[in-house]
Amino acid sequence: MSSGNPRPYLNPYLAGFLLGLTLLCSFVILGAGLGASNALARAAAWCGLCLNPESVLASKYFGAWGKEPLNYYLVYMFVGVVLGGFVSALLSRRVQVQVERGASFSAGMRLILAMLGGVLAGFGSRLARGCTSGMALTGTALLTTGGVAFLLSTFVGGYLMAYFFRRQWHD
Amino acid sequence: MIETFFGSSSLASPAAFLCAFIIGIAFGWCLEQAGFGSSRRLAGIFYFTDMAVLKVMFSAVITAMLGLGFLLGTGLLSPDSLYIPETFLYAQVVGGLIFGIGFVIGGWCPGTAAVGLVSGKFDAGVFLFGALLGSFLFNDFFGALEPLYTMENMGVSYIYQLAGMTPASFALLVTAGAVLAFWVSEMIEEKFKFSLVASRSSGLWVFSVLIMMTACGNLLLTSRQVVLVSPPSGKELLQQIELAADHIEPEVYAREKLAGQKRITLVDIRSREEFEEWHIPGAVHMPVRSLVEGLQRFRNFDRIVLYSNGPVHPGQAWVILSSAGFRNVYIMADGLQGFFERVLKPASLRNGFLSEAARREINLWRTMFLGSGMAAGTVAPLTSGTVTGP
Repeated sequence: MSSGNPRPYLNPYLAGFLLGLTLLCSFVILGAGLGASNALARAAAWCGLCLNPESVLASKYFGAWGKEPLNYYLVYMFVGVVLGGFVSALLSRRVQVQVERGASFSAGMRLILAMLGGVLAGFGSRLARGCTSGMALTGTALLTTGGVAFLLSTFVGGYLMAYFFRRQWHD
Repeated sequence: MIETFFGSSSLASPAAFLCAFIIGIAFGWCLEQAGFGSSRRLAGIFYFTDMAVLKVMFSAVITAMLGLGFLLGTGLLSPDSLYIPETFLYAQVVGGLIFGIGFVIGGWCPGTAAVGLVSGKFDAGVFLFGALLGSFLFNDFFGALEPLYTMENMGVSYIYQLAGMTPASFALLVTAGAVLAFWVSEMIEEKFKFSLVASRSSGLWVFSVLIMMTACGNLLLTSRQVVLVSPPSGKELLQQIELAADHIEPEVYAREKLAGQKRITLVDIRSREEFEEWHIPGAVHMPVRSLVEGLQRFRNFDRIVLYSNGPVHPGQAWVILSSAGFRNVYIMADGLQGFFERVLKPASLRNGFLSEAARREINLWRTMFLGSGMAAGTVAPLTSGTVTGP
């Protein structure tokens, strides 16, 4: 896909500082923090509306978003994330089609794990009212109790299960 | 004073969508540059092989936290113009656990998976598809999940309030903790050879010093009550008084409380004895003499409403607090007396004609503030005769 070697990543503290400034801009301009999982849930509601509008509109959770669930600022933010990520990956020559995994792990199994992880993360983020961006990052920067609780329990959940899924990264 | 889209209730306008889109571009760019378009790098934190997630995440949290602390502390940004996610402790702990497990199994989280997908990672696309399914599942089982979803609603709850600290001093503590975590992560990556870490991480030296200085500066700023937006002059204060911007009507307070508004701190400034005898449910007690220090942690955050028996003491306190730079203080108009007359007095004892809707509203107020059983009662819990003094 890309010519030449990929450029090295940005210094993590500088990247974090810039990410923090982006979050701060979001607070100052929008009056709200960053978010990602909300857009996915709204995309799910939109897919549902295409397939079976009556039941989705009648459902208590998706139904509350009405007939145009995509009409929301976090959906536009998500589209921006996709574009910004793509431009950055392209300029840094990091676009490469692959199934990312350890060399000794099968691609099929890795995709099954990615799917399972996605289901759990999608479900968990709805229950917690946010994900790493909207709850852990935004909530903790605001020093809210829920944000800090979510951040800590995310790491607890991750470290508890890390051992059982370590093989997917073994070379 | 900065006006946000949320503050002007226009987060659903095309202009806000455009801004969100542009902020999203910067967001995606930062994530990709940090290397978060790679699930392997993300998962590294769970195996102590690559601590980038911790470094980037905490640097971002500290930067935004200190920036916000500065903007709110100086009054450049009003707390009312910020959307603060509410705390539902059980849902967030259980949701966080499930989310963390999903993170370690899938190797992605929603935002990073979007960046991973456009970097060509097929597994990121599959993860995103799974997240859509997970959202569907949540919607399908929402009926069964709703009790957990809404359990232990703490409203807008700040961790520093639970710790009994001011925002700035808590932020300093978090900053110091983050600096420690950064250095420990570097040590982990270098297999605990300090000399290697210390000589290599010049960026970390600079960043550590910078954020610690900013955190101390913020603390100094708020403790000395420096206000960058110049403190209101006597003329401005008088103007606010004339515009009645200094007080809140008891009915308005009752209506907002009933609607679930949690970002109001009600402060009872009568004597401790009077407070213990009876106070408006939810009020905290604070003697007049310690108001400036006592309210410091609510300063320019949530709305502060002062009440006493009458309007005199709260009025005097309002002037002092406002000239000390507090911009979020209001007086309960007509004091406790007014609250009894205008909110708690049973509909049956009121003069003049009351519509059915008004009666119902009064009953709701009485239920909320006095408990059920008082709704349609004919006798007030305390007659206004017991209310004396200023």
